[in-house]
Amino acid sequence: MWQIKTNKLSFVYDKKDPNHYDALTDVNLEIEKGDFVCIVGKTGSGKSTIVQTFNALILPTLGYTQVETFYITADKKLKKELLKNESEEIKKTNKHVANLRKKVGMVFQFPEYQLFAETILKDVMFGPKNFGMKEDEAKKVAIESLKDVGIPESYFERSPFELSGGEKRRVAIAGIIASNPDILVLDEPTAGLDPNGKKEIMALVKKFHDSGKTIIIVTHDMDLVLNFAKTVIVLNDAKLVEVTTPQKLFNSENLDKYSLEIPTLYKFINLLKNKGFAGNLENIYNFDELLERIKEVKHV
Amino acid sequence: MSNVFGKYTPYNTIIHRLDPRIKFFALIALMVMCFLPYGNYANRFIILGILALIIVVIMIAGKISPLSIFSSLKSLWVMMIFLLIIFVFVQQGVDTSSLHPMIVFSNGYTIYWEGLFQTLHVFFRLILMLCLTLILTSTTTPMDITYALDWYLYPLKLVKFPTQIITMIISLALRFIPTLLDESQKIMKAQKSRGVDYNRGFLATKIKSITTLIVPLLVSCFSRSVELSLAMDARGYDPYGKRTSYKILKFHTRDTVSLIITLLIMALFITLCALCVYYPGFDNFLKLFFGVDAF
Repeated sequence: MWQIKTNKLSFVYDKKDPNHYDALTDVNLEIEKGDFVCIVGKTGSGKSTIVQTFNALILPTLGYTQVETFYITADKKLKKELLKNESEEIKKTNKHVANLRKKVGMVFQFPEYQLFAETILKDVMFGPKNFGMKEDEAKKVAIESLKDVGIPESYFERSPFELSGGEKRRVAIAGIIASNPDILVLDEPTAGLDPNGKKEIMALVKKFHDSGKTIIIVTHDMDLVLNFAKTVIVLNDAKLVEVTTPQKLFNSENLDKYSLEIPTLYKFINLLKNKGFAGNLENIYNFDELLERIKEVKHV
Repeated sequence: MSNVFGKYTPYNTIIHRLDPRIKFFALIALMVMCFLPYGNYANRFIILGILALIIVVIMIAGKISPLSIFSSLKSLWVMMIFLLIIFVFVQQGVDTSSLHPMIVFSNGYTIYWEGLFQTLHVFFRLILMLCLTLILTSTTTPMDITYALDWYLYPLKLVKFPTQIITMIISLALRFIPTLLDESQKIMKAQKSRGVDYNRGFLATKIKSITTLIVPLLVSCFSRSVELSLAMDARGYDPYGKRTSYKILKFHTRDTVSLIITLLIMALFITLCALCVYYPGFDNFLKLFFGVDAF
């Protein structure tokens, strides 16, 4: 069952400007509930734009995005038509965008810029309180999610601006997951972090996914895609070109066409092939399998 | 980024191609024209109307939609109401014998037409000024504006005033406006997805939600300026060194022509103003030409 759907979605930036450009053209897409989706493509392919329509931060100029029963479009006529046959309750939810934003948590690139409160705890409590939680309740979920992201209790009363870059980012992410969204969208969550920071963030995302949430990640990091994604969506020049699995994508010939990098695993396999490795190197999907194949050769 | 009010739009019209110094001069000249005294209220509105017509023609020549100004006026409504209240009250203190009562309350308190007209007059001038600045900023690149400023500050160089520092500060400020706008948009988006609604709520909630934008923006401003100063140092910036420019401003025929037109317009309005001030009867066109009694 799909949870997010886009229908003939198009978006034009600065429509009236002489140098306007199409960020998305005619995208039809369905994302399953509980899926782990990575959206890839070169810079300017429309990745960030499409995920922002999921949260109604960008309204599609043509077509619409649908998140469960919430319709998102800039076309008021279309929205009216879409809602015509829906129940009163759905019409009511559609009136307040907060209902959608509570459902879809959005972690932007460099989320540390969103920190503003005097203390870390207050900053994390901010989201839940906006979505209608009571003070003590918000405090409870804030403490919980701060613990989830690995911020020790001694930090709670400190200013968020005293933290290091990686810590700031974890606090910012805690601020999003504290509202307990059903869908978590992350735009380049690992950009600018050291390898350990990356691992921590991804472990956190994995944990959130394991609790039944849908995860959507926009990324350039193909290792991340190979290791975590169940579904990969490839955008190229504002168009949707492929919805596939990472294994299929990285074993196809199209990588170069979409200007995507080859993950470390496949780089290594290609190197082995070029150096004349004797074993079978087809259909390998992770490092453990590769290790097995290498061991096989040794035994022969 | 969405269409920001007054952002430079790269068309290729005659207004865009004009020398920035001329545009700067014309901006100041026409602004002064907005503020000259032109006699009674009917007169003022007629003359400002003529000025508005000229400005609209320039806007259309520069491919700026004159209607776009109204979308940016939303926030000015509050100011207009505020002004109206003030002007209505201020009239009470002065000699009220020459004023025209609009509403007379039972206790003798009177609201005069003049209060309303004065508000409209101030507002009219404000709109014209906004239009003029809009023309300058949307047809001239920020860099060109700085070059023009640098040229106008030249006399100060003779008294050893470091004008190059001033222009550097201005050009840096102008350079970072779009960056900061971009950044504020990013921050707003991030806060919106945390449930902040910048458009809803009463004053207290609005102020509270604005702090969620201002604090991060200030923090990133400071870190940006530190980075920028380090980058400038690294490239050997010396504030007192002699600066050269790759762009040399040249005067064309069209610049001379538009300078003359500007001067003619100035002359016309100064004459009108002088007539209104020094010749009795001229301060009331409607009565002079049509015999209509206006105030």
